[in-house]
Amino acid sequence: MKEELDEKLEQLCLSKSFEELTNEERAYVLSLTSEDDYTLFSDFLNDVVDASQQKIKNTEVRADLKKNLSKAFRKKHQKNRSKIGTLSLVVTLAASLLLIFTVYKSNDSTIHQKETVKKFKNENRAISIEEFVQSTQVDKTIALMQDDEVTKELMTMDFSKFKGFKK
Amino acid sequence: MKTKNLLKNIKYLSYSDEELMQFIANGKEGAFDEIYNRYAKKIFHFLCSKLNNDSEKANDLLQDLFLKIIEQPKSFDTKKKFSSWIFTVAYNQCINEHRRNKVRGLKVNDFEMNTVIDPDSSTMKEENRFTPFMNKLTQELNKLNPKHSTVFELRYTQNMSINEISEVMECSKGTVKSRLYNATKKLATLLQDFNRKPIKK
Repeated sequence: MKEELDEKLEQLCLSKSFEELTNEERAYVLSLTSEDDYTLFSDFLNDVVDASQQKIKNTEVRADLKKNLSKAFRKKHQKNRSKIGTLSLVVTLAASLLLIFTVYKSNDSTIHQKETVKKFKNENRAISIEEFVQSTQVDKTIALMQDDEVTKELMTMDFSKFKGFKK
Repeated sequence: MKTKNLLKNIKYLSYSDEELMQFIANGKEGAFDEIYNRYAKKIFHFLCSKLNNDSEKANDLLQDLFLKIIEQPKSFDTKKKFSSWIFTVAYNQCINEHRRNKVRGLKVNDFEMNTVIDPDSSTMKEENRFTPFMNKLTQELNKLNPKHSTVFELRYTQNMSINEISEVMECSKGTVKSRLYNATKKLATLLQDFNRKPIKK
């Protein structure tokens, strides 16, 4: 046998006795080693594999080891989860504040628009869209397109009664 | 609760080791349990044999290894085979342990020394028909060059491929085959007349 393991020979040793080899396999084996050496290696390797499997199966790892590891696993990922939790809380809080601010501003603007319309109504004078936009600081397009109470009120007003209303 | 855990773990049975490691990185405990079930005993057996059957030390190193998987799952390169990686870590743990012992001036468990172990200190709980054969084999393995015995154990005890062993031991496939041939030839001859018949109780 050459001074290096031949993988094909090893596989034959592990799977077949010399008697079970085909003619072709026997020729291959005999080109590398003798029948006696083949049998010696085959018996030995099969015993090692069987005995090792048996030994690993019967091996007992310290009983508390798995429990400690599971604890460590949960601790590690709980930490990660609480980090993610804190981050999402901060994001939610920031988003809520932004929403509250926007609604407040929008309400503020609506109140201002209402007051402007009332003022002009009370003064009994005409108001142009430009004037409305300027005094309420609302975008012209929005002012024209807006489908809220103020715009509705504005649009239903009889502007012809107002002096100086420019279309 | 037990049924729930069982179902949780069954889910991971069909996944490869490498896929399980990705689940572990995402905090899936069932995946960790599956990896533990697949490797704990194998690694423990390997560590014991490399540490002259010091089961206490083997348990400690096993715990360190799995803690590494928990704490740094991304230290595993998913392009590599997990079995090669985990045995490389275990093998390096043994080398470090022997180095530490050398620094401390301890002669016991010297990785570079040809030591003889006490077969009665086996971690096996039950005797079986292979026990005397295994004890003798362990004794003879410990007399071999550690690199030769490690190659032999990884191949025939842990069923690793030549390629995987060359990765674990950081040597060429040719070196692995040569070490394997020498170890097998020597051990097969030494254990030739050893009684491997079942123990009669």
